[in-house]
Amino acid sequence: MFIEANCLSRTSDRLLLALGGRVVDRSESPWGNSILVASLLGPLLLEWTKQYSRGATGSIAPLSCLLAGVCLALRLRLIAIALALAVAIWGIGFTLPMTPNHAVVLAISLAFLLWDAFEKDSSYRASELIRWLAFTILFWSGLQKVLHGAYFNGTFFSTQLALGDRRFAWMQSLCSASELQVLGNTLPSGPFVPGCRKITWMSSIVVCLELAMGGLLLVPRLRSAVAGLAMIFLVFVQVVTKEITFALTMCSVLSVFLDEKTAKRLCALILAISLAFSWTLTSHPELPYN
Amino acid sequence: MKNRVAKVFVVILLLTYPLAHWIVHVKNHTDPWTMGAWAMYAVPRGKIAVSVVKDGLSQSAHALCPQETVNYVSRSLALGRGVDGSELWRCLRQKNEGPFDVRVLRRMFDGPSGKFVIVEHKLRGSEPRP
Repeated sequence: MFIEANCLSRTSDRLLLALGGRVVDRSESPWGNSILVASLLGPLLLEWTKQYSRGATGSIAPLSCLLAGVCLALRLRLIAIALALAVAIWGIGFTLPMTPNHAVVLAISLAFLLWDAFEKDSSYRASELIRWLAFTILFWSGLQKVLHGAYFNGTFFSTQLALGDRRFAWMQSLCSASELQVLGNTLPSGPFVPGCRKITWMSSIVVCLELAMGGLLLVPRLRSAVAGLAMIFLVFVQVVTKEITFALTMCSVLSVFLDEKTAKRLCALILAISLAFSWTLTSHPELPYN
Repeated sequence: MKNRVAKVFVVILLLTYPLAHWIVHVKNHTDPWTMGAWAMYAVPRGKIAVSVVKDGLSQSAHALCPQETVNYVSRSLALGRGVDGSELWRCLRQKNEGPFDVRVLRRMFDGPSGKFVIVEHKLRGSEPRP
């Protein structure tokens, strides 16, 4: 019985610590998760300030996020996480079934943090689960694109370009005028086949990078560097598509792979950008940022 | 030990949920952008329309029952044919007399061919009731 339990715990150790981290004694650093909670509060506040400024919801959600921030500053970590999680879960219910990815990421991460806050014995941190969440997001984003079959042949970007999606309008600069004309003359039902090779290359690179960055997080030596590169890549992609909230959420989640000092600096940056965007979108709700 | 097992289960769920999501959406011709699983931007978004066919003429159900149809349409797009359309059907029956047919048209994107394909089926729960 003892041998079985020992074997099970070794197997669970291998799986849960495959992306780094270690089993910790909780007395070591009781406030270890506070940086992560603060980082996640930034995009959560931005999301609900944005919805409030656009008249989709009332002011309770953004105010609750601010209150959670105050609680965290007063070292009332459990209350802060519970409040933030309540807002995140309510947000999922409010937006179902069209819930954006960042809302799901925020709710799952905060749920892991609340679970962690209730644990008293030496155990895994929430960050071990959040590392797996980051891996899943990167790897599955790439794999979903492969499975749906619209990237290696460039049909996704071509369709968005032909249908006049403003988020992808910058891709016009990659194609010649004749290539764009052919794409523009495509029937509304398709087929949207890119005549432009650069678009096919770019969409293939996106898939390969997502799969590679997910996979490389499993290599201990490369982990921090890959997390940094993934942040740069995601910020670039999300800024281009104007998905600022997802970019900030992913930076918060990926910060679990960084050392404490860098994570603290990144947290300050995420909070500053979130507050700046929240402030800007309050006065200019028409800005096309998500 | 219980916590370890629960956490291992959570990790396995994180890894396998997107696969289940892909299977469900491909099987039901629904919109993969919904219900998480990191499939946003994998394909262009689908569209859905509900039409009422009466005396050979087709009319948008959205124009007849705006609120109910909006709810039905978004859920249906996400979850597929498993959605109960009885609420919409009830509203349409109040507004229409005589026999009529309710059709659902889904315009979904087929990645490999780069074409939008239209899948049409009868609204579930729209069978005439006594």
